[in-house]
Amino acid sequence: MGRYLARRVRDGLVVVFIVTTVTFVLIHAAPGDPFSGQSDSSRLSPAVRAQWRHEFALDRPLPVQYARYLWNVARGDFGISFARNEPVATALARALPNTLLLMATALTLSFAAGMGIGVVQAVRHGRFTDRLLRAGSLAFYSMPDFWLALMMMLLFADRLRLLPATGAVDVATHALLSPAGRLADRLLHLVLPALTLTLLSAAGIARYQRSAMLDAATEEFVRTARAKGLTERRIWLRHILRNALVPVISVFGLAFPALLGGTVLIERVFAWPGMGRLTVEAIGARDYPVVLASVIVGSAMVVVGNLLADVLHAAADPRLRRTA
Amino acid sequence: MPSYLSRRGTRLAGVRTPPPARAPYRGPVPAVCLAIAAALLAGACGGSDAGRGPTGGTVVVATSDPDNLFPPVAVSASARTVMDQIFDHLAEIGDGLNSIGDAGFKPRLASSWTWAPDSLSITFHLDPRARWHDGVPVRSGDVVFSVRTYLDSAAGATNRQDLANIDSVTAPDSLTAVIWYGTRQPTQFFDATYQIYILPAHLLKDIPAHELRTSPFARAPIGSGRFRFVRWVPTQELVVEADTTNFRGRARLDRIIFAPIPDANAAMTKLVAGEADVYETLRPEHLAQIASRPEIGTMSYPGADYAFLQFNLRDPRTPDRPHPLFAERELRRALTMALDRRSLVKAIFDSLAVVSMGPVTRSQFTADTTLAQLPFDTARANRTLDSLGWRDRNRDSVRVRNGRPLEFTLLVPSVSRNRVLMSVLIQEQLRRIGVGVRLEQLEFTTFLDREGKGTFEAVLGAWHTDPTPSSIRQTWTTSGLVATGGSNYGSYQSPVFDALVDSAVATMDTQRGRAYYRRAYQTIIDDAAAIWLYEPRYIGGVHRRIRPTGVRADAWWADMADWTIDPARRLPRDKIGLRAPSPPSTPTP
Amino acid sequence: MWRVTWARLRSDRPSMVALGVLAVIAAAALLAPALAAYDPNATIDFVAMRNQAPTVAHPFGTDVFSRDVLSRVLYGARVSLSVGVLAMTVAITAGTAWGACAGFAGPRLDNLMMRVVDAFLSIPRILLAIAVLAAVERIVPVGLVLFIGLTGWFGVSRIVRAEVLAARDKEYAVSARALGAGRLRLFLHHLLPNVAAPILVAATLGVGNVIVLEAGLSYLGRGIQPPAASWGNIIFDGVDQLTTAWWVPVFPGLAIIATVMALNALGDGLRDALDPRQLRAP
Repeated sequence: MGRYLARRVRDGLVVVFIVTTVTFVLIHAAPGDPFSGQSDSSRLSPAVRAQWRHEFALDRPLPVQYARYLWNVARGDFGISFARNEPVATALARALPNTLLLMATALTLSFAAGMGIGVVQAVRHGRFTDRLLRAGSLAFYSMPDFWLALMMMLLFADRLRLLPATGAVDVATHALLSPAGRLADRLLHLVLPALTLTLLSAAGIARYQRSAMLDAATEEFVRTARAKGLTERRIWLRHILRNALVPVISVFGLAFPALLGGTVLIERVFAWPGMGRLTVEAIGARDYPVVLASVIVGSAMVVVGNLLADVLHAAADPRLRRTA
Repeated sequence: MPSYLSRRGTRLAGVRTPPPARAPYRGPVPAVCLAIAAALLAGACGGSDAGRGPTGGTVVVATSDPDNLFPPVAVSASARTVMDQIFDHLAEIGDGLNSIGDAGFKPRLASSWTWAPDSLSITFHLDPRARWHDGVPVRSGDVVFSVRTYLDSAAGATNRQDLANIDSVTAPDSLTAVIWYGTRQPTQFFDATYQIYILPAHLLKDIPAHELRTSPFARAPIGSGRFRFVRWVPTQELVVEADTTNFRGRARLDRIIFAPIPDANAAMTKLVAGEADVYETLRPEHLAQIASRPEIGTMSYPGADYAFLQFNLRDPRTPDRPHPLFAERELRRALTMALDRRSLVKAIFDSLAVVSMGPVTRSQFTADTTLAQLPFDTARANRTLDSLGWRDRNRDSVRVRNGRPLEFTLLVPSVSRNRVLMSVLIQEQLRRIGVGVRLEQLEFTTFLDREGKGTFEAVLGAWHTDPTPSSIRQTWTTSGLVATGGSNYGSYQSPVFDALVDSAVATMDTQRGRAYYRRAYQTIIDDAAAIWLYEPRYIGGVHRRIRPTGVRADAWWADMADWTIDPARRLPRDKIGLRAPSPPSTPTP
Repeated sequence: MWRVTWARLRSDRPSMVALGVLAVIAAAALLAPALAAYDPNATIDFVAMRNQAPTVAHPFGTDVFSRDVLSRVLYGARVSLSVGVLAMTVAITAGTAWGACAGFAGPRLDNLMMRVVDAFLSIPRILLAIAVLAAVERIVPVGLVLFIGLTGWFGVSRIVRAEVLAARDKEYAVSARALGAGRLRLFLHHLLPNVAAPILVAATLGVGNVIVLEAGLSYLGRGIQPPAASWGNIIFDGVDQLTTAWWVPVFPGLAIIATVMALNALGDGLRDALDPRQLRAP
């Protein structure tokens, strides 16, 4: 197990390195200057731009910049954001918890909801409930994420005025609230983005859960159980569900990058101050250090997520556990 | 109710402000003057109670996160909104935005000033009562430090080139600072005041110049303005509170919260929900919504931007050759006449913009609405194109001359919603006279890159002007060609225009300056160096319990310290009061 | 094999419904010039007719430029569907080539090639696409198809590699090699037919993904460029007026959902039809 983990970590580092390199090349190949200004009222003259480029060592050859960058990152220094004039680590430290909160909420809810729906569908497979849920989950599964987000915003924030439309907190009043009020404020703002993400990924998980259950239902032990005269209910919940958990848990590894990708546009729609929004804005502003750092963090998250999924898989699968 | 709080805010006549004919003040500025100025700006005069109004209250401004709060390097407009609350200039520009000499300028850190007989230096006498927010008095050493920082290339001030005429700065005594100039120029007072914020030397002098922009100070500044910085949590809030012991009087508001809300719809939602109080730029589609909400009023200000379709007069592939289409003056004029600019502007902006009159905005003192414009006349445009040899064999397609179709690519920055909308309508209108337009939407950085390199045929550009009309030298004359470090991206060159601008820039006399500018504008309009499209007129949404004053054309926020909140209509957040560490004394000016 | 598959597919009702829906949408796209009442790019009256709510004359309303949204959705179908199909073709080709090479390569090269795939799979695709598209100045449809295709082959390459690894030691492959068949020949003649089934399923699902991705890119202003309509950029054109002109983003969104749902249902049906092991429940 230890050797296996070591190999996986090494592979993970290779992946992160490749991602970093590709991103470095891509973002530097993109036309435009980080210091060209972001609006017509903030344009800078060529002389000032040259000065600032020099200040941030952008006038060095690209390989030199890359080597310097890697060296700094190896020492834990992500540099200073061009657009924000603050350490990249500070910007990340602010955005990452927001994204993790959003993802953790969505992940938990979508696995709970998705697996529940999948089980109901499998138990009642072929009947009306199954067909209804199947169509429903297929619809959400097929929806463009940002479009669903827009519709949720239109419905719940604009028309019904039930929930705040954007942001992680009410920027206007948050600081003035009591601690309980702040918590409520946070939760209220979390609802729409988390719900959107949940609907999108629960749909996929439900589909997966359903077919995993139905696959498990064809196996030998089910026939044995039936032969033993166990109740249908017991067979489904005890035997089939347990066996169907293994493939669903491995979906966790796949759901993770999908969810991370989902947050990119969802965060934009709901102006959620997380990694996705940070990255998209940084790409637009050619804020190289922020782009690179957030891509490194993002890919590391995916690698860790995959690893976690494998470990869970091993833990859940009795056959694998014995050999491990 | 003051008239600038017109409910729709759309019926403002006479946008341009007459320069106030007032003697410069000595001593603190009575806020009532600011209110009068504001009323003047809005084109009407009404009884205002600012200056006697109540103090207290919290105003939430929907804005975006500033990039930085270190004045020399901060570039975003939202940074200026905040910095103008926290920092002071030596003197503040008047509401007429005159930039020649010192006419209209109001005292700030300097309570008075004297010109040297040869005009090569100006002596500023500091107000002895001025203090930094940490209690340290503001002294001439701060002025010296500030000016030097702006001039130091290592500090990277964004406007360093505009200050090239400043030669040096000295401090004969602790309350006197003298700024010395290389040559006598109309804008030298403007340069020393409008362009430079005074910074606290005692907090900054030990930081190497190139580290100032990333220093902690840049994210938690200490200034001398009527609001002091409290905290900044990026993406969440930036708070300033009244400096209760300020030498110019306690700000009437307790607190301003700048809430970064990046999206127009979200800001609108917050405004309607009462969570935000001020949203500076409403979009046309929001106007009706605002009008139906009795609790939201508007404030309107002309702004300082103009947008245009700029032709590249040089061939983008081989810049030493003229552009095969746009080098021809008559063609440019025909294209201008093919556009129904009035309808375009109406369609996209409703009442939130007017047709641009040339390379000048209505907020500048040289604005002149009597300039002769090329008319909207498709028949004439068609005739011109015919006579130039561009034939449209089968109607409804692109005209051709010697095998070359009359087609060009128009670059549009995708970030500007208005310009994207405009580009599609332009494409459609030009198609009707047989001119093909290929649109290319670019990210803003890419757009600037292409513009700067001259690798474009036409762009939908825009300039944000500062009050000095002389900036057109950089943007439209021969001396502004990109090769010489300027921003004349379309390479328009006209000796007549150049000479007129040179004369206009050099003259010390406001009237003569205006006359030269007028002739220069007429020349470039007749030459159709660009199609002058629109000049946004901004309308901000403001909660009705708030009474804004001094909504200045270039900076609606300029006098926020004198805004008041109706005591009868206060919200819970208005009643928090100051939790400030400073003593709760409230000196009145 | 294909005849059996078709017979199985025909008995699956969701798949048949999906095929029907797809046929209708494809027909609408092909016949767009005949069906659309208006020129999709023509502004009808950009002063008086902007953002008009749905009426009989404009069942889907008009957009901010006073263009007929229904006509744009019809023409947009052409663009969105072709981008979907073409980009997926690119992705399938690239993924098959990479996967086959990795499968045939030695363990070392295989490992490296798969790490590259892992790397790309670990960047959210939308971010990767944004970064790539930031590097190009001008987004032309062909370029967009290539970019989406070239960022979408990683999953396919995994499938193909797995099939190649599984199949190359099987009897027919060994015997074919014994008869002196080259690797390319072996792949084309013997392995490709075997991997065709999972690829077909992946492609059907993938076209839907591409349509959604293009919409996402359009939402960021980096998709198909105006005035050409794609479902994505019609939504984008309406985002700013979401609260006042909901019909602009809603209808193209529904078109996307209908199409992608049909593709997904068909993909599921195909998978079941091609893989008897997964036959539903006892």
